[in-house]
Amino acid sequence: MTEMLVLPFYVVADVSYSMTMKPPAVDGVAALRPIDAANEIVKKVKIALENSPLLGDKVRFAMLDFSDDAQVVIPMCDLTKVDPSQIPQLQARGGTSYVAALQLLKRQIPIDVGQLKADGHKVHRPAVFFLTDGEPTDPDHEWKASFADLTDSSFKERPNFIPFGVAEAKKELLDQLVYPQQRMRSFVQRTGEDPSAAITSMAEKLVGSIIASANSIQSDGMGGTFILPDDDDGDVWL
Amino acid sequence: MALIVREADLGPRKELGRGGFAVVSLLSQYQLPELPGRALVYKKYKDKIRPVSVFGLSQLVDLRHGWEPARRQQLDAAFNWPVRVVTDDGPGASGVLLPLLDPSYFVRMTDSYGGVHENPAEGQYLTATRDWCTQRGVPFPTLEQRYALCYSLVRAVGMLHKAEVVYGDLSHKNYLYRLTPKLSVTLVDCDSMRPRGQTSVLGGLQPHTPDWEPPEALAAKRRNDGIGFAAQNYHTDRYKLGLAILRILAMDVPRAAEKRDPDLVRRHLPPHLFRLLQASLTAPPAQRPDARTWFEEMRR
Ligand SMILES: Nc1ncnc2c1ncn2[C@@H]1O[C@H](COP(=O)(O)OP(=O)(O)OP(=O)(O)O)[C@@H](O)[C@H]1O
Repeated sequence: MTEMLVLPFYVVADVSYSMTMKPPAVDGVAALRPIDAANEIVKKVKIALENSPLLGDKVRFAMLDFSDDAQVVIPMCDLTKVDPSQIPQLQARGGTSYVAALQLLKRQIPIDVGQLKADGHKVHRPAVFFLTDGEPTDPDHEWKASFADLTDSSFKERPNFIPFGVAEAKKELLDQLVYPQQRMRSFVQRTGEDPSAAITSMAEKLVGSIIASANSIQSDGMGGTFILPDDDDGDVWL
Repeated sequence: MALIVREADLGPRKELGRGGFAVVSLLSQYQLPELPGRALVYKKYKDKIRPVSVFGLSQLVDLRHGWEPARRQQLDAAFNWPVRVVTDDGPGASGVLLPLLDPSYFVRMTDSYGGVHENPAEGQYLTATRDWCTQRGVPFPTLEQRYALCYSLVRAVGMLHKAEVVYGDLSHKNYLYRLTPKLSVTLVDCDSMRPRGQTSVLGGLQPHTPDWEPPEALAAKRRNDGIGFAAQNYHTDRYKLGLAILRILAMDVPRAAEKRDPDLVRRHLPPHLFRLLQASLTAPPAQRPDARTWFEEMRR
């Protein structure tokens, strides 16, 4: 039996209190709270995977959240095998510690990759889709050090890292959370746009990336790579 | 022949879907004189793959135009063949016009949240297990139905090769199937086909879908021979036709979409067809049976 290559995707979601702020209604339609939009991400990914018999086996998904601390919300799994009623919802709490999120990733990734290998898979370098709506509450040098640690070349499972910023998040800052710098990029919402709409667009990007990446995999494990979708909706993101 | 239209003349359009290379939109008002009442879509190429050769696409469009009506009808049923080249103010072709796919080539499926989706009935669903289909309310075709779908695919590839066109990137995403009103398949993504002697206008983007590479392409890849890897011809089409037949007939085998071993379906095929399948998948390229042979042997 040849080993199957799987692609691990992480969504890391900011659940600081600001994620629960209700944006003003647009044309009389009540806007979604950012955290509700974030909860829809999992559903969208799950449905996309369910829609194709070719994808489920090749993709693994996990969701982490962070505030003052960070936790695993959905442990690395084959989402097509999980019942929707079992999927936990994100709950808001406290501040915005990037350090907590980055350190948890650094601990969790080797555990998840090790488990997938133990299950007989070849494992592709993970991809992290990092969602935040503001600036970190940690001192600059601290989150920078955590990010350097997570993406250091001595860390074998260092992930591709794609930050998404909505609401108050700043491009200059999130550009520093891109890895690798040459091949990935940040997505930061243009000012004045609805954060929930931007999160919905992020979900589409994630789904597009999952499908394109999984479709690039050869079952013999010879080929396959992580593909970041191109920016079709240039009016949403900076 | 002036089978080129301007994007500005197409009138209003509504997006239907997007792929890696193009955005497809329904034209609500535009019609062609030779296809009265036939709804059309505009497949517009993304900037990242432009310029696309107007000349190359015109070859395909003109070829279709040159057929007598009866033949054209047959080919139009089996292929979502481009009917016009479209240009805008940008370089090369901006896209092509295609007939809107018939609703019979869509399949309804229910997700685990109870949501209902109408998806193009891509061949990939034929490789799904019975459980997978049952969970989503997708019909799981019988062996007889699968056999009829293979026959329709064989017939399509036969017609194409007779018209001296290489399909190229045959895969489970590039043909659609239906069980009613008539068991048949239709091939999509036809703008990357190439008339023999021409190069494909889009073929360089993805010569072979992963898990569909013929052995000679894999061998070329191992030698780092990019040109050899990318070669698409009648022989590669014949190999992929064999793979498609194998995977359609595998029936309820986990990961059927990745299988290449003909023995998997030995029990589903009469000996003369099993031999054809074996030859398609294991013989040297020039000795693979052509679609015409399949067609005749399947009718026996
Ligand atoms: N003739 C058609 N009628 C209706 N819908 C169509 C038609 N052609 C394409 N579509 C829709 O548009 C979507 C994108 O088209 P298509 O897959 O051809 O684009 P592409 O960029 O070549 O794709 P890919 O990335 O799969 O190679 C399809 O998934 C399909 O739903």
